[in-house]
Amino acid sequence: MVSIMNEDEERIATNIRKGVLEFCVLGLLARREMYGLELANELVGRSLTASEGSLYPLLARLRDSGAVDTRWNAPDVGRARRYYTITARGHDQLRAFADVWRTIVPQVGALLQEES
Amino acid sequence: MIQEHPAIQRYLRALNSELQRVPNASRETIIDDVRAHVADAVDAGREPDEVLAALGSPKDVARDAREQFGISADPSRQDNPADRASRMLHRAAVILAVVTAVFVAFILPSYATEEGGVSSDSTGSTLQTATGLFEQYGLGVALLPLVPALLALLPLLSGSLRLPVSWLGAVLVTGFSIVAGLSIGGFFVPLALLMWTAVLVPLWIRRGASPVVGRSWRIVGALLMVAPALLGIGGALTGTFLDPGAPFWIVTILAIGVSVLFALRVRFIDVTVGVLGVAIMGLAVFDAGLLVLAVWWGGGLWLVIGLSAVAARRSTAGR
Repeated sequence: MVSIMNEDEERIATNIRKGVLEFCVLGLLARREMYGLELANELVGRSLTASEGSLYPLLARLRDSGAVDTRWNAPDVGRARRYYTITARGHDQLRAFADVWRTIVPQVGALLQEES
Repeated sequence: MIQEHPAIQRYLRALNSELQRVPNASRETIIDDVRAHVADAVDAGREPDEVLAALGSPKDVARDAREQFGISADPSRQDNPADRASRMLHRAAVILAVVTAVFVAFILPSYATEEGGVSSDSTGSTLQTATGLFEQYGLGVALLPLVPALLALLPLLSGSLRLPVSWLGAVLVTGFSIVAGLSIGGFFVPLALLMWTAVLVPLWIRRGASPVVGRSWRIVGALLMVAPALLGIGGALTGTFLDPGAPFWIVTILAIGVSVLFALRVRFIDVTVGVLGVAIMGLAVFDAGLLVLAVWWGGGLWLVIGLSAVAARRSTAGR
């Protein structure tokens, strides 16, 4: 019984994360620029993604569409890293998402409250 | 930099082949990022196998990538830019091969007769007394020049073996144009060039369509295009080339202008160069006199440079 609940939760979480991962990435980048592993660690730490590998195709597409940009940073010590930064277009998309999110969350919350 | 773990190498190789149909630049970015992710994670003390497991399988990452880029899962419906460029250039090579064969077999006066004509005809009207290969030797010999056309066609029919077959065809046609260079072989030099670009342009695309390499080739192409005009000017200035008329200067200035525009990658210039190349080759077929081979080469060079630029640009369009 418990394992079935977990499977259901896993499936639901996967579906929801899939829809919001893009904006979580933009949200993280809005705070500061980050390189791949940093972003992956942040997302995993917040339980926002289960498979770290899905981050990189997403970043490639965001860069293609101009929502993020990249720059190389070569420190004196250690390897050169590709840093991702959010662009003006990325900020626009993040704001649009925030508007939608703010209308959805209270409605869903209200429904769930009635249910419990 | 640490030595890359065999499991990591395997993973990246598998990912690279799973990502075949993702646009080149994005594929490179994804592979680079995943490689850096693993290296950073291992540096931070994680086990390579655990890092790879947390990434998900190469198949899963590739499925995500296909979703992101709106590529269907069915390989037959979407093909990669390298294959498109290869097909386009090989089709052009088949057409050029057939045109060359027809020119050589039916229109071009055969060289043996031309020499005979010179000795026997005191008026020097060699072109009138000369006959084509077909008239002189019959259909069997006239069909020989079609062999390169067959070599140009084979890569289009050989499916997964296209790459080795393209290489072989390019080598054989090059060999033929050198070995038979003193008779008809020389006319197949443009075809040999085109078959090499049909090998090299897709290779460049498959390697990630490096803009630096692309720009370098474009400049080399522009220099090759402008070379005859520069030689002509050199000749005119030093007096080797006596009294060039107005047509020479007009053509020379036009050639320099087009070459500069080509180097600058102006819109539609690639097609323009190819079309001009065809026009120049047409001039060789119908009205070039003694310079027939030189004009044919010049036109062929422009055609090949134009075509390869079109193929390269189409594959990198939208970037």
